[in-house]
Amino acid sequence: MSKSEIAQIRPKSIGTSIPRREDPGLLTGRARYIADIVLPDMLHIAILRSPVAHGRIRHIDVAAAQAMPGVELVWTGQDCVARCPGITSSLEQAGFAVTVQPLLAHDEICFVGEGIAVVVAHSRAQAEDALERIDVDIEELPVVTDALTAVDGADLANAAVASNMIYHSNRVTDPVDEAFASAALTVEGRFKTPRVNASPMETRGFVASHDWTSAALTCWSATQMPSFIKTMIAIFLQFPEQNLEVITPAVGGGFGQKAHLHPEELLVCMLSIELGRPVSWIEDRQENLFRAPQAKQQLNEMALAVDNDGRFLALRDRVTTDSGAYNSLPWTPLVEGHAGILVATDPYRISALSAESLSVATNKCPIGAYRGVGFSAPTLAREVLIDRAARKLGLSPFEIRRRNVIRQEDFPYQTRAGMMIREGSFLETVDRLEAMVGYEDFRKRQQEARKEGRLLGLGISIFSEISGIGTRALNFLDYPLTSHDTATVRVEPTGKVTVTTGIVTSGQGHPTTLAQIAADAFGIPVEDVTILAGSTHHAVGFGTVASRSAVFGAGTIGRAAEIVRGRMRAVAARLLQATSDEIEMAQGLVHVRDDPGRGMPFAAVAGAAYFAEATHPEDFDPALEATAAFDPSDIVLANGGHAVIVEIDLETCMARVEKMYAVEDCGRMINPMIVEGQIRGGMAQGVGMTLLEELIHDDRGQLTTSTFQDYLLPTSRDIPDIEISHLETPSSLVPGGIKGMGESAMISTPAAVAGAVNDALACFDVAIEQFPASPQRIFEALSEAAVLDGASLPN
Amino acid sequence: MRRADEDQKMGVVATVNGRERRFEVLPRVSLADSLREELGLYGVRVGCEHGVCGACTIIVDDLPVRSCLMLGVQADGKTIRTVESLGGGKELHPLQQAFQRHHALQCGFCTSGILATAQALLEENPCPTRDEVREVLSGNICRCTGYQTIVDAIMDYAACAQANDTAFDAGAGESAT
Amino acid sequence: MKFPAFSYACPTSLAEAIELLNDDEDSRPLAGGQSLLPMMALRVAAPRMLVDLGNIEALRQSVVLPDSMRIGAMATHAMNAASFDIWMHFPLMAQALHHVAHQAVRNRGTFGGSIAHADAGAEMPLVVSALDGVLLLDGQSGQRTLPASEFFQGHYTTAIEPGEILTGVEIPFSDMDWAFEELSRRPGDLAIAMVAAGVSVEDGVCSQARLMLGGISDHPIRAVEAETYLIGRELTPNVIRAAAGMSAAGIHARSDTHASADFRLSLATTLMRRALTQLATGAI
Repeated sequence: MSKSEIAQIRPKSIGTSIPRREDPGLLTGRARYIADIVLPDMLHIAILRSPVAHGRIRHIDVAAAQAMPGVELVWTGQDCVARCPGITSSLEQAGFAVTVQPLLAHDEICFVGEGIAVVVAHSRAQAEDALERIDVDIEELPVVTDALTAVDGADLANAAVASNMIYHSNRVTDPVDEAFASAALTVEGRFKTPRVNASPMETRGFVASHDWTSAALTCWSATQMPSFIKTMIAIFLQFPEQNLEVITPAVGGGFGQKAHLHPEELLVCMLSIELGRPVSWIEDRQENLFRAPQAKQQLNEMALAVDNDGRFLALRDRVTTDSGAYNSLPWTPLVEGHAGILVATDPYRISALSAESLSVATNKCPIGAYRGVGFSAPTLAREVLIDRAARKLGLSPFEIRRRNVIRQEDFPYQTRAGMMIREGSFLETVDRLEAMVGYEDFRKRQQEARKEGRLLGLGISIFSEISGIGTRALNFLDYPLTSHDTATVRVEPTGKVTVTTGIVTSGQGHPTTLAQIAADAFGIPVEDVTILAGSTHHAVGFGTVASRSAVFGAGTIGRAAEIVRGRMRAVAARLLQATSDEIEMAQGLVHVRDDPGRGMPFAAVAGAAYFAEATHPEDFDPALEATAAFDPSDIVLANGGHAVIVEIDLETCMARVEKMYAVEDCGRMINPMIVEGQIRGGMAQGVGMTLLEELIHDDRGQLTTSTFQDYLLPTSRDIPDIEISHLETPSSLVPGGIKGMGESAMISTPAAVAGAVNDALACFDVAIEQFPASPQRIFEALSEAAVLDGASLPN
Repeated sequence: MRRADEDQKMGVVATVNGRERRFEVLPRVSLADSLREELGLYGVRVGCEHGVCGACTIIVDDLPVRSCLMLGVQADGKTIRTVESLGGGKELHPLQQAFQRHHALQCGFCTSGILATAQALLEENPCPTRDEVREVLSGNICRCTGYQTIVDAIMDYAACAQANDTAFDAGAGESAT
Repeated sequence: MKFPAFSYACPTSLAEAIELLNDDEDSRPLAGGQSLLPMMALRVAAPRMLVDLGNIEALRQSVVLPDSMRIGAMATHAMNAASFDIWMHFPLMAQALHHVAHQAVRNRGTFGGSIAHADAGAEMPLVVSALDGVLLLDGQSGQRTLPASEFFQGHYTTAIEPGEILTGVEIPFSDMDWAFEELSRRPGDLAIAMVAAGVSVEDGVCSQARLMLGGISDHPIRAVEAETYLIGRELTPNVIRAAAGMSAAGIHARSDTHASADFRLSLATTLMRRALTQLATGAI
């Protein structure tokens, strides 16, 4: 049977907003996060992190640190490299530059915050005290901080990356010159998105406990990818994988930052093996801002050719991604730098695309995944340009999009990059969003506000999201990886259902939504289902990334349940004197189709399979337990749109979001309340990225925004109430018509905020292309346009 | 005078979640870490350790404070409430129920601090406006929810409490956990 | 981000506290801890000893005197925000307190701590400067007083001598009307720019004016030229605009991650104009 087989699931609990079963533990403080894992005899580490962005270690002396109270062990890079050369991150693509990131630098240091030495002590405080006694002599090397000038620059950020070029991709290069030459209108810009930190409220952390008597290594990781981490530990440390367990406790948010193998994780394992004691690493907030994977920093030099009717003719994009000093694993910087250019045209019909992407090494923290990774920046550039084109043509921002989105009659539609779009509701999204915003009224309100000296702006963004990323989607994005999950489903003798899954949660509600799926797969109450997750002793999962868990949860549970259902049907067929094909399961009963009277309780059939051999058909396999894999047969695509209204104070240059709207079509929703939670949270992050958050490095590669006083996360007064509307176009590739979602708001809200800022300032012919649109940047743009001196508002 | 050298633990007597508790800590240990490590109150979450994120917010002498910006030794003589005191130990407090009903939490890491902030607000102002709730909440960062459902939950709880004429602590605010 | 090791004492009298601070030159008074403790967590401060002022009852007390009010250094921002006396006598301070951090920080953070810390973006130094507060210091060589204008010397820099404690601020009652305006990146953040403006209007013209700028430079700055200009003039939009422009002229503004010097000066002008407009229209 194919791994892409679509099992039958009849939605009943699916589609309802049942409260989350994991909430009581979280609400009472009883849930245990990584920092709450406390083991007897446990030691704590602190890591000395480089104060310079680029250098070479001349000499390091740890004797004084070693002598500090409570210190058990101090290691330098030299101690580590003998045991593990580092994290090798490569990709099977021609021209791709491989990097090896040492667990602790032993020679070259490539960014501020890179680990240099580790202290193991009885408490974190003692370990931090000892760090101050380590004496390091570093020869400083030239620092590369600007990705644009780094290309072919004389100085290398990392000696392993020639020309500072990690990868140059240009898969789709349609000839577009003619289209641009003949176009009635060309809009273009240079859009800069900031380097940001996903900033989960819980920092990263890892605990390892090695027991030499059993040869077992038990790890606890605040991770989104436990199965991956486990296999990587086995490979990089040559540790027998069968003796490894990675447990995922409650995780306080991840958003992609925790979807990597971190050097610290291997380090903690090595230290526990070395010392024979549990070792804990709980990252602090400064470490997190310096060293946790950073995200989103791109320059998009984009141009859009448009005809007189506002139809898009061609899109050109050149993306330069500031990738940092090493490739993160597993994604490499391509996850940010490359993926976007392959979907830059979607969800519009654009018949010519020419795009290239440069992933460039710099002396900064490695870039990694953060919600909507790779897609946020090109979407921002495209949508702002579309608004600009609409203004120039005198079209409404909704109308220009209506004229260009992929429509019902176009399906199946193949994009220029080769993705097949089978279904969607792009046109409906535009219409719905326009109605929600009340476009005509908004323009009137905007006029009125100008008279009072207030600048209102409306921004819109229409998106499609590759959700449920499996092998086909990864391959499309040029990752030659395989990505399937498994689930094990067991019907217990009393008719209760236990599901073990590799899907771990960091707030997305999987213990609840996966139970809804399993309940509907068997037609039983959701209370009768338990979801076991969080240990690699359970099923295998690729990880909670890329909006994939709903798709893979439904796919795997559906397929495993189908196998078990088949056996239960065989038993029931005998008991009910019918054929297997006639047996159905619904509402806690197993009955003959169209005749619920001829049925028996679900539990009775389960009991019979376990305890009554007489009910078994011949050659019957009575295991009411099955494991199955799932991987969708093609790319699953969700879609929707966002609208944002901002108000800018012309004098203080402060932009504030007044109102936000979302339309989401993620196919059939498992739990609408949870879907809306994902939208609201993602939109808040989108506002953060475009108005507040920015990791600023100076020209020596020093991070100047290294606390939460300077790295500005949105608060409850920065995010307004959000209005949400749903469309439901079921997927044809996933059980129950489910599509998956979670990242969409972060893909497309930044574009809508950016569009709104630009709409507000358009009356002065002022454009903002660098984000976040801080008061300083708005001030500079208005000053340049000499707006502030006059301070009179055009009508 | 209470006084201790840097390597000398200091005795602390405090009323914690309705019970007198005694513990000894070094001067350098924050109140957040003291409550976690000495009393096992792991519901106190440590998010930034420099007083910005609000995850460690607890109630000291009826006022919400950052427990990362207080010392354990400063708890002496104080009355402290952490998230562990909310609800009777067998069921959720109505405020917690409102949070569950409204999906006012996702990863849950900020939730202990937000509940403390909400609890203190509602004790002082049983029927706040949405704006008042947003203002008070602005000292607690939540990275998951976008805040709206947190405001919804607090407003809903306040409305229910008004309708049922129940003071905030009519539930089990002072239970001995 | 664990605090570095320190010894700790919690005296109950001012005399004890002063003695402790003088015993060890590397000791620091601990007020509300909302600024000092973060700096210690970041290990940019590492005093050998903390002298906790939290149990010295006298420092919490505020007293209303015939022509002034003495506000205790250890009064928290929350206490001051809830004080009827402050609301009545110093509406400027009441307005400014709305901008001070967040509730949980206001519950621990103190008036004196904020003043002694002297962050350029903090509100209380500006308020005390605008209201001509007199800072009360106590040390081994006895008590002394300093006008605010001599106390604030720069970002994190004041005239407090080692071993001295700020015990409170005596603020004279003002018969002017006051307005406060601030811009920060997010509500509750330290100010990028802020202004305090006080005027008296008699017979339709300004008879007294006090204009102060905060956050612009590294300490509160008085706009003397603009004050003088206002005297004898009616607070018309044009006069206000001119005074606001003057108030920022010639200041050496600071530049940081959030705002350039130019932008700060532009903000100073805007905020001053808004504050004066509030006063002129009575829209406080």
